[in-house]
Amino acid sequence: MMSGRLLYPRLPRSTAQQIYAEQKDASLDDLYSMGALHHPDAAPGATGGHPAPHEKLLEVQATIRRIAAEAGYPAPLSGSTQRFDRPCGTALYEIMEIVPADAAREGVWSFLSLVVVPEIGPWRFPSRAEERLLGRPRNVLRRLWWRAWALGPDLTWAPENCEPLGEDEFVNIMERPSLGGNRRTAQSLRDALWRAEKSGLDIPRSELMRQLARRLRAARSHILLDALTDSELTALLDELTEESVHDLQGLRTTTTHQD
Amino acid sequence: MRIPVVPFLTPPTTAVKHGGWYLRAPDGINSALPKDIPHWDYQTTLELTATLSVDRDTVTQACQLDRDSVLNVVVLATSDHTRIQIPAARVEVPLTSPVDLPIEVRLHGSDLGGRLTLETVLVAVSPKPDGALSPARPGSILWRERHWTNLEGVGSQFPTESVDFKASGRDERAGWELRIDLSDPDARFMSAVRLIMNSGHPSIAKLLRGELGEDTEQLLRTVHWDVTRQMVYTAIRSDDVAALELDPEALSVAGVLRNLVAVVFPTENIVTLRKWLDSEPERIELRLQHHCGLLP
Repeated sequence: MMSGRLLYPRLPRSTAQQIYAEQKDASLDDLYSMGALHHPDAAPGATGGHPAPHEKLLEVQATIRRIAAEAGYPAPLSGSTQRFDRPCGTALYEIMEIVPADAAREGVWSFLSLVVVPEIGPWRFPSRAEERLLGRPRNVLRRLWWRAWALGPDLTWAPENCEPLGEDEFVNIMERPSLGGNRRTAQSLRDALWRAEKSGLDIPRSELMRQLARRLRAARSHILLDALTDSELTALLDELTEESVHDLQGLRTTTTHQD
Repeated sequence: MRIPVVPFLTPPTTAVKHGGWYLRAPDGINSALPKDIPHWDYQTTLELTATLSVDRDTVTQACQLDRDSVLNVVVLATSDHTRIQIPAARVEVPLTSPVDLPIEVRLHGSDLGGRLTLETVLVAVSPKPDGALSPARPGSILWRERHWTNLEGVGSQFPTESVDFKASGRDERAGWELRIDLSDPDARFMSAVRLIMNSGHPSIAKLLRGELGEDTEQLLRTVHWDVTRQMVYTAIRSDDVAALELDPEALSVAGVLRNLVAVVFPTENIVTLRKWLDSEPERIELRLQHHCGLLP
């Protein structure tokens, strides 16, 4: 795993909100040309690492823009948004060298999303919702870095005959801190899903993930997953997967009969 | 507060007792974990110790477990800032009963921030159930207790980083380097100024570890004096700084330097200080030494 050492500039929330309001109706072309590597109100944390140099910010900007172009930018991202999200999360995690604690700072992601690559958020999320452009947990770039931290670094990889995780599956893990905040748990959950897929699934995988995540959280109330050996954790997850599949199949049969 | 309800027997609260967490200082002295650790930053490694008293006989009897069931104490560290959860320690509970178990935890700061919660959990890792209501699954949680502390103070910190000067091509016998970039006077002080400490120098390394002692304290005073001195001279020579009015709320590099000059020389203006710089620089030096408390 990468060990981060860099601190990125943080944009204060009030400035971020002001920029967000100013950029609200700008075209993607205009936003692209506004991209910058500096903002007078942004500064890195006082201590705890080395400030990211200008060249690093330039590399981050160029990389995000290259991946967006490969995913079709500026054409709308119709169909799979993962064409951008997966490689972008992987690349951000690999090149930013950011201290993880700094990657949890709202100001860092506000700076990247509103100053460095202001066109990317509105392109990926055309509704331009504030939660996607300001640096909060669901920010367009922040969530991708954390996905790569928990489940990557290569988010595009999957075992043979399996698909990499999709948007719903990522969300089901990452938006539950009790699952997404623990790398071993998150990766074990993903691996259980892939094992089920390999053995042949007749239900949508994302529905299985939703059920499985719910059951695992319930199990965590009385079982400490970190106290289990790898084989014990695998056995528990396979048992929960079997229960989930059984329930979902039963639900589908009931629905079909009612139709 | 949510209290998890578990589907098996658990021991009485008297069977397990947590002695509280202690913070180990660099000098080896332990102090009770405070509710706030204001000087913490990402480069701080927290060393914590605790003692957990476990009455195995009472625990296994109450849970209807065979006395030989394997029990572990696990500590989970969670940061509400990063949301990262780290298994920080794991200790096996011996067969003797009762027993005082020492627990030691080392937490590197790069994954943390905000409120740090330490959850100490007594787990049956290989339970041998004797009854229908016994915990039967590996990992069954028999007891848990949470403690917390707030990392990072709210006060401002001087922008500082540590670098091994030898590895970075600087003079390895130098102690520190102060960079002040006034090319954009309106840039934030926090991004335009950086104190770089030579972590490869034994004396600076000692200072960075927070080790106490007369020599370290004198070094700290010297760094403070030198940094203040360099900033004051930069400010006096800068037309951008001289042109500014005092503004206690200033965040720009020029504004902060202007305020610093006013704090060190409350009754002199910058025009006067420039004259001193040309004809009586010792007046500036003496005031700086006095202001910074260079000598104990």
